Amino acid sequence: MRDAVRVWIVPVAVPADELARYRAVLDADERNRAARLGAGALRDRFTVAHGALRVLAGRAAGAPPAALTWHRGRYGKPALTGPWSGLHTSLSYSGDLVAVALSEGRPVGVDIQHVAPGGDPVSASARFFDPREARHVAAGPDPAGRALRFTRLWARKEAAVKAAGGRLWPNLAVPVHRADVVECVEPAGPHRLADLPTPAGYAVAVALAGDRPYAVECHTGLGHDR
Amino acid sequence: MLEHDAPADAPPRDQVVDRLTVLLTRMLRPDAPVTEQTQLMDDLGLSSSLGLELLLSLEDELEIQIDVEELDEDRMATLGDLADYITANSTPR
Repeated sequence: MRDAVRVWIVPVAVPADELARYRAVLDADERNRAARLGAGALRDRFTVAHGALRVLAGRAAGAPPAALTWHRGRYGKPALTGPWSGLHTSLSYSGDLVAVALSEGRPVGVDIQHVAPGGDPVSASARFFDPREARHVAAGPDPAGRALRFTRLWARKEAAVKAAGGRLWPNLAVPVHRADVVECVEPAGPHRLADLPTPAGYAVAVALAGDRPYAVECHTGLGHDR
Repeated sequence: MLEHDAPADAPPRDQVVDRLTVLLTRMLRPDAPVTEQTQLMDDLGLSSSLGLELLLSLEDELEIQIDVEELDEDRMATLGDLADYITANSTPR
């Protein structure tokens, strides 16, 4: 059977009771980190993101969401510990959306990026990306098109680096535009990328370790099974 | 007195701290004042894409090139950490 990765796209804006349910499953460290982000949208987004990750991973692992624990790798990649270590997780948030990815057996990275109107995607890609990718961004038809091209590439780069558990910055120049199987600089090894259908104004990419093809199941919201 | 570890003609650390403070305040409009101790991700919620924008703006303003080959999240935990990294890993252009 083909490998599969499951991805959920979850809106940050939730009713107060749902936010409280997410807050209730966070551990002490996550609550402290949420509190440091102040009292506004950043804190609530963090709470929804980490709460949704716990609810979904708990459901997949058959464990209470609050009981799950992650260990952070050398460059900060979190991996589930103990009896759940066969389940790989990845979390990303940007703008008003959260993306959670789960994979059995193969390390996973997911990245969601809001296409931001500011910034200078042509200069940024010329400075940090492979020259062919920089030309691709610069050849976009208009400012919005160039921003979208840049953001799609950025999401693919981050997804691959997150699956690899590597550092983003040294891997920015690794080309991800033409082929779906990419080699990070370090840690070395192939990763297979896939773009996801996304809400307008966002780019989402997922990567699994290894070059074997896989199926992508994409869900919107957490579903009814709470 | 020479700045130890800093390459020739790297911008002075004070100047890097000053520009980072201004840029982060402008980009993220935080509630509390930005200082050297401010945690970029944990206090400001700085994303990697905004981090890229920050480095690009800093390179333009100080007319430097920052070598990102050794950059990772640990080296940009606080504003002071990032200023240390940039002072030690940038060259004039």
